Amino acid sequence: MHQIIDNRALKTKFFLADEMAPVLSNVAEELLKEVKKAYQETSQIPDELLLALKFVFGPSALHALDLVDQRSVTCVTSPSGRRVFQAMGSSGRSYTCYSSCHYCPCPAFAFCVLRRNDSLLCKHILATYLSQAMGLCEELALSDQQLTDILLEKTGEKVEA
Amino acid sequence: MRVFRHYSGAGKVTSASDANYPSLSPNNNTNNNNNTNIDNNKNKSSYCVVLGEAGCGKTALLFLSAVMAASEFGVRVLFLSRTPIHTLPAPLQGARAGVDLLSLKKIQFKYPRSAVDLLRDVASLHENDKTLPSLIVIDGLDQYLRSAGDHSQQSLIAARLSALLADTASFVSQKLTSARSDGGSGNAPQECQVIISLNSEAGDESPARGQALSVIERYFPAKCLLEREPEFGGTAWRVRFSGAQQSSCDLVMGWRLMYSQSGAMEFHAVPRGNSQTPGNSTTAPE
Repeated sequence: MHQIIDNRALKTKFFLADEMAPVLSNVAEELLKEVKKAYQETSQIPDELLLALKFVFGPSALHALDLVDQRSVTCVTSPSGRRVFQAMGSSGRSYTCYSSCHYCPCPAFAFCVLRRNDSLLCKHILATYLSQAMGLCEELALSDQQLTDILLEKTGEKVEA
Repeated sequence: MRVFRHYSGAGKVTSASDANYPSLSPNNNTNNNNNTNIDNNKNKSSYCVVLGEAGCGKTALLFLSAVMAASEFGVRVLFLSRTPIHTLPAPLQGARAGVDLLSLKKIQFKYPRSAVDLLRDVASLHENDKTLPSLIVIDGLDQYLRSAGDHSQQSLIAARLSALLADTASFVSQKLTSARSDGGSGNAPQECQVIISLNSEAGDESPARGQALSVIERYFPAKCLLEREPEFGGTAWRVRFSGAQQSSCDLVMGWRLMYSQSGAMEFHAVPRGNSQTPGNSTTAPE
């Protein structure tokens, strides 16, 4: 990781789990584990891990870290055991991100991930991973019915069609 | 794809002499390069999308899967479709005697009218943990997309639906696994599977279809493509699987779906090596 390597080729080879799988690659997972460990020990993320985050995740990394600093991520649970995450965006809107696969209703995800395949996740999804790793998620317990509404984004932005 | 793997050995419903269902085993990491699963939660199921022209038998195939899951494996099924199913699909009617009607009770049929209704039906599954299905089937997903607007809107809805399905299935799988380790029945399913079907007209290269499909493929990596085989005069379809980890027998065998005189479905094993299409399957077979 300290070598100057062609960014795109390296990303393609190592960082994509398989072509378009909506889960973290092994390298990304490992990196998050290191972040978790470092943060647990020192309450901060050392420079080399910050660098690695930027390398693996691109420009989303810094935006995501900002969101984490602002405690923008909430882990929403209900008695059923189902869990989702809500990330408060910079505009004040909240986006519901899933815990098992990559999805975010934000425009960046729709454009950069789904349409152009430039990245695998947006800053909101990355923020949820980081917040989990660093133990900085807010917690919210709702009823099962309320969680359904969250999943349908009844309270967030408008639902398409 | 786990669901199809269990179907090796002729099911009751078909009438082919040596019908054998394909056996894809998701745990057979023969040629997967991200084998080193550091995190055990990585062993995710491969949800499957079935593609084919109108009339090739997707509904019957999905219905067959639902029936087999319910009758052979005692799996609770949720079957969603825009078009209500009032009677046994035509290709399965000849074998009605073989269908265990009691097991049909394990299949819950719902006919949400719009994408929003469909989203709600899936999103609210966690509300009742006594009726969690281990197999979710959606027949004709394209019908829900059609009314969504232009092609970028369609692919957004497709993404939301696919991701919600994947996340819901993942949640159900977790519940099933924990129920099992709490001393549940030994035969209880451990995973929730999802099978959806999409109409793909031959020669339909519309951007809407292509975009929506590529979005869906992210969340549904296993593809089952039914391609018309013209040399059989419209009653035969080549069945191709792609995207899922495949067992060794899939390297030598393929499948053909044929309709007999009476309209019944028959599956035939076909040695690989004839009519192989190179590269990835696309939505427009011809």
